[in-house]
Amino acid sequence: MESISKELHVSHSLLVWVFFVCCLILEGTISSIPLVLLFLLVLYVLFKKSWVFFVAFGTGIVLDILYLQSLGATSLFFIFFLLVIVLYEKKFEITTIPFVLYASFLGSGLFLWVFGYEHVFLQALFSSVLGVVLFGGVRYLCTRKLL
Amino acid sequence: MNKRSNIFVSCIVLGIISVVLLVLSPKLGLIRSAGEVLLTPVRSGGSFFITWFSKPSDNKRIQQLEQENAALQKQLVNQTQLQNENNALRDQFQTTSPQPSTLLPAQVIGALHFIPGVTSLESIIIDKGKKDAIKIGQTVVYKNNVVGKISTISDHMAVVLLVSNTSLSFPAKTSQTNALGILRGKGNGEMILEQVVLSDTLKTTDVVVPFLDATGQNTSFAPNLIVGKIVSVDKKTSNLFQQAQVKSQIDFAKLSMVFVLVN
Repeated sequence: MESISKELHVSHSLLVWVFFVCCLILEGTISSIPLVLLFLLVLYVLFKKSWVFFVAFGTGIVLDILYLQSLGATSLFFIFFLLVIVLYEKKFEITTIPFVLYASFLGSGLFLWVFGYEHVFLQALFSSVLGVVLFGGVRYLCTRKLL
Repeated sequence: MNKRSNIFVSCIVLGIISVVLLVLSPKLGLIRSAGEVLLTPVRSGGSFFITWFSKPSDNKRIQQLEQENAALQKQLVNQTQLQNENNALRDQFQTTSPQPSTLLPAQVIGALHFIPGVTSLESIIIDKGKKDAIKIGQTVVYKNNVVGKISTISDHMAVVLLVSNTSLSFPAKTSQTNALGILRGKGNGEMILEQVVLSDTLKTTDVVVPFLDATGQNTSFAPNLIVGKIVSVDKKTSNLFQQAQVKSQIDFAKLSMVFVLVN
């Protein structure tokens, strides 16, 4: 798995960051699907770097401002979620589709439940599929320059 | 191992900062205000997306008829109120008019988690907040129709729970038959007038208004506001109460300006 993170470099693809900002805007305005959470999961699973936590903190603050929630609530959830992923890294192979699928489903479901959204199960199900699509897309975008 | 320890250190430091922010959040109004001002274009973009994709009326004639219908409903409520007052005066019973309320105009700048045609609109965001003397619980109206109530406020913005939101309920009555009940939002733009005693009459097309007690003081509603119109009645003699489905006269997705009752 170290070999995968050595091949990938997020700076290789500006598109990934454009995508990320679009997800942030979409989630902050019209979508209740936790797009940013899914993106953070994918970023950590692929790169396994500490900067993902800083991105999680910053985007959490932005979402709290857009949602008119208490500052720090969403950041705390994102960091806690990523910490759980870090802890599982030793036990499981995390850079795989099944892991991303389960983590997306459980993470989204917990996020939607904690922050009081409706139709938690359906949205979590949709999020898990979206998470896998994001995983494939980001991995492709970050490796294509090396091909 | 070094990389993992870096990750754990980052996680702990950022976690502690998040907890501190959460605890101190009520005192961080300045940071929140600055953030809201910076992010207003983002929210306006989302609002633009919503109004652009909202399905417009197919026909100008239909739009005209909708406006005429709304104006006639308003006249009907005013007329019924005048008639009731006339009857009361004739019986030598004096009624007092409620104090006129102050209306504060506010632009609709966003709608949380609403995708036209996919999800239903449950709340909107307006560009007025604490600095404009807005308070939680105040009513928001549009052209004599109740839009909703303010549920969350910051310095420059406020979240308005629409009258069809499941979290909202208040006493209401019908305009023509004076049937009293509790109006509760059901989501998806629908409302229900429930807990109406069987002896009261509910008629379809009757208008539902907020219930004001004899002194005209009930929460933050003003007289002659319209909540919606009854579209169907559910009355079974085996039940203790009857209920009716109520639909609002306005399309919340098309609102760009609303008014806050600040008195």
